[in-house]
Amino acid sequence: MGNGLKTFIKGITTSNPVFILLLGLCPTLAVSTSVDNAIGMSAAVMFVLLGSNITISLIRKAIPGMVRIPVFIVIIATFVTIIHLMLQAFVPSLSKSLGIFVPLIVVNCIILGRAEAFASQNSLKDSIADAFGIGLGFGGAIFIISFIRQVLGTGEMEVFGMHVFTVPGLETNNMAIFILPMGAFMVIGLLLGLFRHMGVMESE
Amino acid sequence: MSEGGKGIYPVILLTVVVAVSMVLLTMTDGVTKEEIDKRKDDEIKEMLGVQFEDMDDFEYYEDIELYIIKDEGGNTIGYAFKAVGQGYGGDIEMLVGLIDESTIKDVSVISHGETPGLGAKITESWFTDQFQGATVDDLALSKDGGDIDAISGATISSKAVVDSIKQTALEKIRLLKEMEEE
Repeated sequence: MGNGLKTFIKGITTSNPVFILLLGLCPTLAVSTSVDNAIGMSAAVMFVLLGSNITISLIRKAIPGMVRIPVFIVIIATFVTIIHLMLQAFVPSLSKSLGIFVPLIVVNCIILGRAEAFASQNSLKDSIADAFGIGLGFGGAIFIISFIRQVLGTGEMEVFGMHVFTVPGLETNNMAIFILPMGAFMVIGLLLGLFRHMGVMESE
Repeated sequence: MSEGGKGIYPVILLTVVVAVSMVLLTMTDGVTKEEIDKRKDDEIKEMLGVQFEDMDDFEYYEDIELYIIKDEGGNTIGYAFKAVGQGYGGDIEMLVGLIDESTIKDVSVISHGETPGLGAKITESWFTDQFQGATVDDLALSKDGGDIDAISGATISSKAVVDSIKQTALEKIRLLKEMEEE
């Protein structure tokens, strides 16, 4: 197994940002109200993560340790602002529902964490693999959480206006608590416990 | 990453990074600005249509920044203007419709940066509906003796909305009267 592939898989499994590293929980909790939001947020995070990992890995030898954090933040903020403007211009509905959480990707610790812990010390190829792995790990986690929340909270599954399925009996007696922040904590807590119990996602 | 960080080099590097970032952002802004402005214009048109069901057309008076709403016969059925309040998380931009020179028709929030779950509730209809039919002079939160219920946990946002609507409305009405007299 190549090194790049190993790094990629590690990002999804043993160093999954949400379920193992417990990073970026704020956007995970806040944006996982619907599958649409989860997909939009994951795409935005993936774009920023890929951009910042590539840039930082490329110039890693030129960055003095003393100013590395300011440099990382400027690079991350640039990519976040680009995606924020692009979303506003071309996908305004998604931009509206993600709201403040797009600009807040700047302070998403997953991205700064990967810059500091990985991209600033590894080659371009590995950093790209890491960005894809961690990005998909985050996306997968937020997708699972939002899927459970949307199904329990609304009783039906609708993705970008397309009706997928309805849970009989649940659509009229939907549990709105799962759409609320409280439901987010419950779902994420139970999933964490479940994964630990099953041992599928052991940390190293 | 180099461990060295002596002298002026870190300053230069950081400056270069910021400069490159500025160029990139200016370019992105250039590409997206027109599109974003167009979307905002469309949004305002749509909001005006929702507030004034009988609207057929509107005129925009640029010097006093006021929309005059006309029905099919060309009669003026109301006015609308943008109000900006200083919220908890930045500017709250609203579109306020007036039936006549003292009564509010409706309020729609165009954009805001308030906290989701707290201040962001200013966009909910139970809050904005309170302004329908309210008299501009009497606008105030209920704790200040008015009729507008504040959002619990978001007094700053609620107050920003009420105060900015009242102030801007009074100013626009004054400007409108001045213009009509001329």
